[in-house]
Amino acid sequence: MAGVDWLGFTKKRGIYLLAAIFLLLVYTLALQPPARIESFASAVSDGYFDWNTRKPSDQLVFLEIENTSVQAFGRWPWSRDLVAQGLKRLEAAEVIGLDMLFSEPTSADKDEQLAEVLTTLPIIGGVFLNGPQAKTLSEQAYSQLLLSSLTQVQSPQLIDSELAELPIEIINTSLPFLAALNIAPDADHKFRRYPLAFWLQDAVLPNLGVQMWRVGRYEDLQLTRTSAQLGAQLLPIDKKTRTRINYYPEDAWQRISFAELMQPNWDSQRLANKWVVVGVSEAGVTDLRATPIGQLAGPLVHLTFLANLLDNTLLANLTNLQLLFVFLTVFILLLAIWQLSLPWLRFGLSLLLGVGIYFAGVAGYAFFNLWLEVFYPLLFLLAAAVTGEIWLFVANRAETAYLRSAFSSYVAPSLVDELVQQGSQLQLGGKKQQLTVLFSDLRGFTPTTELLETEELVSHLNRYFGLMIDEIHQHKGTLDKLIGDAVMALFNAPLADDDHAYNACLTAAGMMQALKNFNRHYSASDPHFLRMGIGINTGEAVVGNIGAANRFNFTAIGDAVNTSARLESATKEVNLDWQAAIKAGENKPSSQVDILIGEQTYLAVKDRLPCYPVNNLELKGKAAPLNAWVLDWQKMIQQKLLL
Amino acid sequence: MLFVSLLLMLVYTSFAFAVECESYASLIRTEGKVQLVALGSPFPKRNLDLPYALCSGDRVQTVAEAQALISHSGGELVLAENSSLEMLDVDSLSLTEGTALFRVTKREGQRFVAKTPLVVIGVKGTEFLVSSQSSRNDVALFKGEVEVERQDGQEMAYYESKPVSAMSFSEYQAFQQQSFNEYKNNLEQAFSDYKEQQLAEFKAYVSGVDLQAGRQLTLSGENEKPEAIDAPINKSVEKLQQQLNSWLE
Repeated sequence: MAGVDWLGFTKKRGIYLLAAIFLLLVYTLALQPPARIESFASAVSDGYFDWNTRKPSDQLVFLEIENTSVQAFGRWPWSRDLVAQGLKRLEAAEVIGLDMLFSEPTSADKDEQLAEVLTTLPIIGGVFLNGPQAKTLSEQAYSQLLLSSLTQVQSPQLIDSELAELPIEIINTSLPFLAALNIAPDADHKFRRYPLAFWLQDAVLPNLGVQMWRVGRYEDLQLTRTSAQLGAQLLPIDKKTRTRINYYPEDAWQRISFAELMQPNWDSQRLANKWVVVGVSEAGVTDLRATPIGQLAGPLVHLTFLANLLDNTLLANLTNLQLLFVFLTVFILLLAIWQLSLPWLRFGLSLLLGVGIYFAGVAGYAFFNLWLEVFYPLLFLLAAAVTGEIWLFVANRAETAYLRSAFSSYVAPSLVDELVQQGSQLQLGGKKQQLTVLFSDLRGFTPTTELLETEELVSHLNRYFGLMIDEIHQHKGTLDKLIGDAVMALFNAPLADDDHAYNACLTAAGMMQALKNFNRHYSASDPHFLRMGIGINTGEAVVGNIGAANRFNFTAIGDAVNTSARLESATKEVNLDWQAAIKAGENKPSSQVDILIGEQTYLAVKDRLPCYPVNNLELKGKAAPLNAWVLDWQKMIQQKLLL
Repeated sequence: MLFVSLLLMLVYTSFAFAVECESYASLIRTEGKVQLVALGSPFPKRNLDLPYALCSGDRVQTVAEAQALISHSGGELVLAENSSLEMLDVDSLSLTEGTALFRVTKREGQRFVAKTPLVVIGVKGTEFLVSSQSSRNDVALFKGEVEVERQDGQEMAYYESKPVSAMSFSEYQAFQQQSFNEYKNNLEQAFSDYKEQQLAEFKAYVSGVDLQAGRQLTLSGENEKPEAIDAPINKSVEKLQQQLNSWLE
């Protein structure tokens, strides 16, 4: 029982271990999540984007074919000469990305008109990685693809597409560049990550956003197995060379409708040096993508990636080590929470910790472009906290049961409840403290035992003890032990009682009164008639669970205990002296001496209880004579001090 | 504006020798899809006219079923399919990926250097084949002398394959078996598998190996512990050499 155990380690060892196991399990899950759990986890963190209030660079423009354009020019797809006229008005732009595909021939002259315009523009055409087998690509188409492909790649890990749908040849050959238009969704069909490039046969075809940067900035994307570098910028990528995109509020984009572009007073300089993505946002055409911030037109996903590149806000996942650090922090805080004894406080703080984790995620996102999948630490917190509560509940019940069984026979049931509730106040470890010890014994009982039948003696004594113990319990005392026909009770231990001396005196008086009632049915000469003396002493003693292995008791040891026993045995002689003195005509304040109290008890009660001094009392085993006081229990009853 | 300059560049560079750099090498012949990427450009050149003068930093890349013949100050080389070669300077080139057969003519006092991301090969006049894969690097020497070191200068554990005369009978049996298997193995076999199949004996820790003609040095990949096995030239390598060699004649 000795030693420092400030985390309650021995008691809570099991739960610490369990929490550590949870930590490892959830951490492993976070490193290798199955696709469904991964997308669920991402969905929990999607709310981060609400905290992004930045505007994308005004260099980026979305030229959209939306509602009013469709109203003005009819249903999409439009005649290609109209598209050609529109694209021609983009000549001032620095780069143009087409988020659309011209994969079927229309009338030859209109296709030609479009092709003619395309050759004059810094424009990137789209390739869809679906449809026909890539193996069937024509020689010309493959050459065209190779000219648009990345040239600095060293075994990158990319999504490998076996399918490719290219623009028709006349348009394809007129387009200076091609790019992929694909974004792979997560398991919940939401678009969170942007693949930088795809394998297409031996070519590494960049996505539209990457290609626009290559053309606009004339910088290449270098890919290796684990890194992606665009110009001087190192891009954070995952195992499939995808990067997390950082969405802006949908209304933050600079949009120009096709209808506006076609106005006669269109000023082409509005697009000078701009990077323009041309695409369809009209709902009927369904180029809408599910994103963490809701339905978004596909072209805006490409633009978001570009905007992230321009303001350097692509999101990086936490490294494994950083994630571990998060988990350990939660673990340590949880350990601290478990040190609290109040369940509602633990609950409240755990809740607060959960909220704290979420906002740590938000802060990492908003200030450091770091993406913490907050789901995993929260899962750990939930699992550990719930298990912890169950554990603590079960452990407390076990402790309660122990306390009840250990104390209910010694302490009043109401006190046991108090003991259980104030478990922390109860110190069973052993300590030195002030307490009051009450000692009672039957006078001249040994002859009685010889006169009564054994069984009757036992039941008679049990009735007597029952009455005495009730009195002790009534006044917050703890029955320490029964020694033969003697009773030893403690006050102020193990449960604190500020007025222990007074309560011990009340108990003694109560016991005398109870004995008087008990004796009512018997004459003074009847062997059933019992006489009792009580000694009470207050002082310092060592209290604690004393004993060995499976057999130990809460008790007190010390001079205070011995003195109270000596005082009890002195009552008989003092009473005899007192009776003799009364016979000799001396005036004594009470007719009888049944209770003797020691000096410290007297000092605590002298103003409240009737006590008369007995000077220089010689006690057995005591070198120097002591002062003791007679407690007049009959007067206490007259004064109605007992309830 | 950038785009205009880009277009201008495309137009200019399509005239093969109208480049403003000191050229030590030129692209002589191609087959299949061979791409040329000039220093600093993210895009390959269009309308490549041969022969094409190569400058420092220029890269030549081949896809599947493509091949390129390059003459350089040290001699000639044939770039095999799925390979990428970068011009460094007058005395050196770098095979960043894939396989190439080099023929270097002897020059007085001058050393020619061929590099891969992993190794540096010092040449004194020779014919050799280099293959650079992520899991292993091979240098097979047909004539002359080369010295092979790692780029990072690390010492490597040097193993030498036993000559047949030094083998016990059971070893010889295993070797026979292994020789047969060689036909099935190609250069993409991982180093660790290859090592297992060679009855190689640890010799020493060395920082460089002087390779003998008729031998092939195989080096472990970048993220493994530095090891190198010196063995007779692999049959599949020999076959590849014959195929590429036809362009050198």
